[in-house]
Amino acid sequence: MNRHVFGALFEDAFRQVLDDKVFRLLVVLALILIVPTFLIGFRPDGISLLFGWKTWGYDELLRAFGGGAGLKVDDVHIAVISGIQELIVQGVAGTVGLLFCIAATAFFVPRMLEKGAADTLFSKPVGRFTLLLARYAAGVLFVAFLSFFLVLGMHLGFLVGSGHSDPAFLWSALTLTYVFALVHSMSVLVAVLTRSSIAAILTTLIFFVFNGCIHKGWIQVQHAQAVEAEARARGEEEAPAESKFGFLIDTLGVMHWVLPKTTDADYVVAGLRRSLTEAPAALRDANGYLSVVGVPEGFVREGGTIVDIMESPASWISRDADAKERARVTLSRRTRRDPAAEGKLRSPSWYASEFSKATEKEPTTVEKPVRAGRPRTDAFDVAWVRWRVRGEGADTHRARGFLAVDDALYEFDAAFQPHYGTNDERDRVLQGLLAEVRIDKRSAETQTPEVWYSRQFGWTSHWRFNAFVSIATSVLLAVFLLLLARWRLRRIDF
Amino acid sequence: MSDTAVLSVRDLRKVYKKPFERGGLAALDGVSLEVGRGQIFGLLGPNGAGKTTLVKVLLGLVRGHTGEARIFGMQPGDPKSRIKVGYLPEAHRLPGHLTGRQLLKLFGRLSGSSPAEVDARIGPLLERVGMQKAADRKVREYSKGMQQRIGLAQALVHAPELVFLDEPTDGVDPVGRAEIRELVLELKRQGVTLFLNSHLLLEVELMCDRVVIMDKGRILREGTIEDLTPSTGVVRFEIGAARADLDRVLAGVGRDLRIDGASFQLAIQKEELDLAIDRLRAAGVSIRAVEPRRLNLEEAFLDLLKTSNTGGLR
Repeated sequence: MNRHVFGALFEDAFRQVLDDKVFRLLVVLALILIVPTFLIGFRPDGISLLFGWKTWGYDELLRAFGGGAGLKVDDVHIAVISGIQELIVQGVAGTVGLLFCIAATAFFVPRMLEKGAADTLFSKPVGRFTLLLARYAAGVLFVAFLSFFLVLGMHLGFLVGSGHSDPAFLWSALTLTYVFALVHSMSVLVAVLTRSSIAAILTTLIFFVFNGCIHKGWIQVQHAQAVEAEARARGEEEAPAESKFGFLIDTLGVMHWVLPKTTDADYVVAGLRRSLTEAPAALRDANGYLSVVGVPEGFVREGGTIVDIMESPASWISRDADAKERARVTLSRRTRRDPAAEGKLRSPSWYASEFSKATEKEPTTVEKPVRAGRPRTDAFDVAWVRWRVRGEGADTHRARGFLAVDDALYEFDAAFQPHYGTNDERDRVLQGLLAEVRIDKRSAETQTPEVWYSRQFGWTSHWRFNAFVSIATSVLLAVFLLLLARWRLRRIDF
Repeated sequence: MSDTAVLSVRDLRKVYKKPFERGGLAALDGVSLEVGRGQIFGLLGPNGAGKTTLVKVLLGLVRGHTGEARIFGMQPGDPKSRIKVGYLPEAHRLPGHLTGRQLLKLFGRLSGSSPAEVDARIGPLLERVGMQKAADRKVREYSKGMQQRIGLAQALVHAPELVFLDEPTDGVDPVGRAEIRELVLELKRQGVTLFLNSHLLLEVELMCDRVVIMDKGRILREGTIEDLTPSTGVVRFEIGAARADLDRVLAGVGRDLRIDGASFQLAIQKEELDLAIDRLRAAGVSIRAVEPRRLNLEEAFLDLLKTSNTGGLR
């Protein structure tokens, strides 16, 4: 396809979208949602109308609507704005809006395939599939325009009216378009098979809803299995017998992986927003349970904020005036399951003990490693091992701390050069680091399936909860549906 | 395929089959023909004769045929074979969301022309089809005749060398029809090959160099207009004034004399024509015109269908 043809098809898709009456109606509806974001400001001290013409406190407003005592939430205006954004983009645009768009774009392909229209178009020296893809693109463009208009408009509105900017919110436009692109491939296939707009609309709507049900069902099953696994790990439950619904669960799993995972788009946005809006941390373990909000005095950390420390451990380094390393603390994560004991969960003390035994045998170890309970914090328990290693001239002081969070084992590894200081000073460094550590320990049992899934889901998660895998398998089905449409289209006699 | 032929088909067969149906409908049943460069080629036949199927096979719109088809030496399914081809389908539907000008730009570029080439052609073409005033209105607002005119323009916007016109004057007023006929002849003068599919036999007779008559997927006859419209053996005479004694004057010459005022017609052998003129001149009859009467295309067409054991027009 040369650039003239591509340009012509793109222009035609653009014109078809702009000419569509439903598109114009949806633009007006989006405007109705956008305009109030400019006129109503959600400020830290209250809600202002028309740039300060009238203002109300949040408590005052809540009381007027029968609300209870004062709000205790920090940054209430941000919570309100986020709630409104979520309601409109994920709730209204992500469901009702997409249903409208499915209906509005379903006729694009059947109209192209009508007798008379197809003859004219397919007699041009352009492949049928190229022309079909142009119509598919017109549908995606339809939703992309609307999504970006709504999301950018609201973002600008909240920036002007409320002085609040949440760049992660802008991703919503992309995810809305992505979800529609997945669903629209089914619409295109049905349109080619039946050449009927009604059939395309009905099938696509069913497909959209069915996808959501399957995916949510799969999340429920995964969550239930995680709760069960936790109970087994605690020794409260034995391994389950073969379930009589195993076939159904397997079928659900297969359908989950085959069908586009449209609801994952919300989790992608939620993850992005969380990573950008949560309290800033100096280090967050991308797939773990731990974050470090500050840096111990006299130390610096190299590397990014969100890191999977199972893959690349985080290090804090202290240097003297000559940039010579004085001390280094490393934090890493690995599984707490012992492969030698059929994956049994071992305690930090067990790991400390094993480590102590192994270290004792090292030829560089100067004195027998000792177990220690300090430094400590009230928030969690760390099992420490201390020992000394022979160095050039003097000995290096070492400490290794083991911390268990669910099935993860965190290891703090400290190395202090001889001239660093006293035992107390070394303890203070480790104590300072522990004070900065936050643990988000939530078992599957204490979370709803959706919250649990959103915590599992991520760009670097296990493949079952991996965002890349979700997107890749979803796109794969969309491509397959389009190729199926191509196969059928090549065989149609016009 | 000869060097001068722009398209050729040999023993072309196409059967439309429905699922779970035996046999199917043979739309083309062993069609063979060749169209030379710069000709206006007419395709005649009753509804269901296979004319449109033949055109669609050549344009790659209908597949699954057997036999050989070549267009500019290429297989019809190859998009490249359509670069130099223009097509105006019968009962076409053009994208209503575009204006006439936008439509020509789109189809011109889809046909492989650059935007600059298309822009340069659009103005004169719109003028040629009489659509310059309505060029910036949406196609959906056009009348049927206007849609036909803009449809014709889209078939020509990329300066094709071969144009398929399926009922090009359908829905066009008489003045418009004459304009389209003139345009077709002008294209022929420019060396463009035209493949005309029309129910208006007068139109075909006026424009086409060669004609094929088809029925039930087969070619019944092919030839020039003269080949297809043989002489009837009747000669029509126009004379200065009505004469009551023509029976006597022409006694023994020809037969079936029919008098109509100052003209008459007579079934006559070629060799008797001189004798008839001599008799008339000897009787002092002033002869204004002598016109051998031929079948017109419509008569020839109907005659052929009746006698071809096809059961006539359906």
